[in-house]
Amino acid sequence: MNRMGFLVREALHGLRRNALVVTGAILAVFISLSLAFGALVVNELLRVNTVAWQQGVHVIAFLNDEGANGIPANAHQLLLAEVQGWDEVKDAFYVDKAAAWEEYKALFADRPEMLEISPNVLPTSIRIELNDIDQYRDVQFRLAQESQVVRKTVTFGQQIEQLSSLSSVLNVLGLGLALILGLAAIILISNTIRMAIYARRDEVAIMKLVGASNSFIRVPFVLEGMFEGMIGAVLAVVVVWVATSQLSQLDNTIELVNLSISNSFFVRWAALFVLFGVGAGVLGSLLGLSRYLREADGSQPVPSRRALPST
Amino acid sequence: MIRLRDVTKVYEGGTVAVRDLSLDINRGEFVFLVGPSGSGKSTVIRLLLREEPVTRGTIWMAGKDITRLPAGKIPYLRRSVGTVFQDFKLLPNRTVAENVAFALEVLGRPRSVIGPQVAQVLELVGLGDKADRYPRQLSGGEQQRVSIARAFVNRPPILLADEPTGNLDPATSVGIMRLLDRINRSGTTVVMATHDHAIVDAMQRRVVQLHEGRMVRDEETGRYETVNGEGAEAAQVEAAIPTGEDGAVAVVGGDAPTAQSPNGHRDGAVEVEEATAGEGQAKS
Repeated sequence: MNRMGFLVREALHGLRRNALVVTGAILAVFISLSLAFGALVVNELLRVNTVAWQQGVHVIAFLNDEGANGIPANAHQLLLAEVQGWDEVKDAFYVDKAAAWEEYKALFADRPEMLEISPNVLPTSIRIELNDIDQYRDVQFRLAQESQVVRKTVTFGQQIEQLSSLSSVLNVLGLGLALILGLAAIILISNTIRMAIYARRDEVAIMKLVGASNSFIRVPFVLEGMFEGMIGAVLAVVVVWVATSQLSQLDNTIELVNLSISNSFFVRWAALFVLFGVGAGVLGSLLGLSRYLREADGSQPVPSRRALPST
Repeated sequence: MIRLRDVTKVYEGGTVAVRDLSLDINRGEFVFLVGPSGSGKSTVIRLLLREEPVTRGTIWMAGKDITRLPAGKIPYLRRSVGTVFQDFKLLPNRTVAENVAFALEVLGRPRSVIGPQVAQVLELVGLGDKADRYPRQLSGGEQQRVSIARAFVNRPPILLADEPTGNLDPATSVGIMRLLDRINRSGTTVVMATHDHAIVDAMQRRVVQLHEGRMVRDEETGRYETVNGEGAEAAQVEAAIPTGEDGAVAVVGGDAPTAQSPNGHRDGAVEVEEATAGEGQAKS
């Protein structure tokens, strides 16, 4: 217990003494992990939204009114039945003039001037959900064959495709960025530990002289690196948390996109990032200690600043 | 206690620091390693601490062959050996008591043990009232006492001292030697590398002289230099160069009053004319 207390005190002492360098390392961990975490959150937002859009209506076929231009009275129902029979189509449903009007009213509820139209001018439509979003061109083409009934087709397929490819590019970029920055964090921590050893080489030399074991000498430095990694990671998590909660407040003003991240997603990744910070700290300090460890194995103490040439 | 057999140390680059050295030091002995700079004194100390591996030969400490000690066991060797150096090796940002306690803390001793043990050893070295001072507030001699306290706080069976008086004026050195003598009388084996003629001559203890890495003399109660010994020439060269800040050391012969001897029963344990350094301990 006393031993652990001594080691922790030593580690904290080291952190205080090299405040500037330590701050640098913490900032490096903080920046790299916030960027990586931020990229992850953006990616998750894209994924969530892409999925949401993918699940919705992909193609809308606006129809000419029945009974006009020689269109038979049951043409809409026949077309719906036919569309529902297509292989590409997962689901298709009919929106009549009344339903279209309800939709229209809801959409422009806050703009009364837009409501001063006759409900009758709104076209009926068939809303189609595809099995696979990539098939939207085929379906569009087939609907175009029904030119007598179908007035116009609208599709979100292209947008969703673009979004998907953007998402996968971001995935690769984010992963690469996270890897490089994570590596940078580890290297920076190892550097601060190396400096810490240098700053305390007299102390280490004395520790070795009085018979402290190598592992005992290492522990304060490893703890120091661990603290640096952990503090940096916690800061990153806090900053990303603040940023995402700001974003989800924007959510109310932008209707089409969902800007909130689920808590479970955040907590899971936050825990992983803090763990990574701790791991990076430990790894970095072991890396920083490695030169010293080699010397220790050769049973040579860290050279003292005041070491005299041997006589 | 300490046994060297045909020990040779060649440093990287080919410098031969110690050649075929064989030496036996018994429990409770006080041994001076003397010789000019470069004669191998410090290397012997480093070999005994396993700060350096031997090139050839074997060293036993307390019955253990330390030349074949695995790296992980070296700390245990060092726990049984106290060390004192010319430059004190104190931590400037810790108080006297903390510096001494450090040696016990790194061994994981409980605080309840450390406190009394540190107080006791500080009394022993005569610094009981300066426990809360920092090293920079102490004179050189006092700093060396702290360093001795740290080396001895764990009650090691062996104490190695590498030029412990090298930075101190003669009067202060006397005090340090008296302390080492006292520690030796408590049963601790003391090996001290030095080129302080006055001290060696006054102490009348075993002298092992090295010259270019070879042992050229081993006398039961020796002086720094022999009258026509092999190492005399080298020792004279050494003598011409002042070792401390005050090279003018006047030595009083063995018939001088024994007031400075700790127990009064040893003839001329340490007698150095105080006039050269004046009263008190000079800052190093």
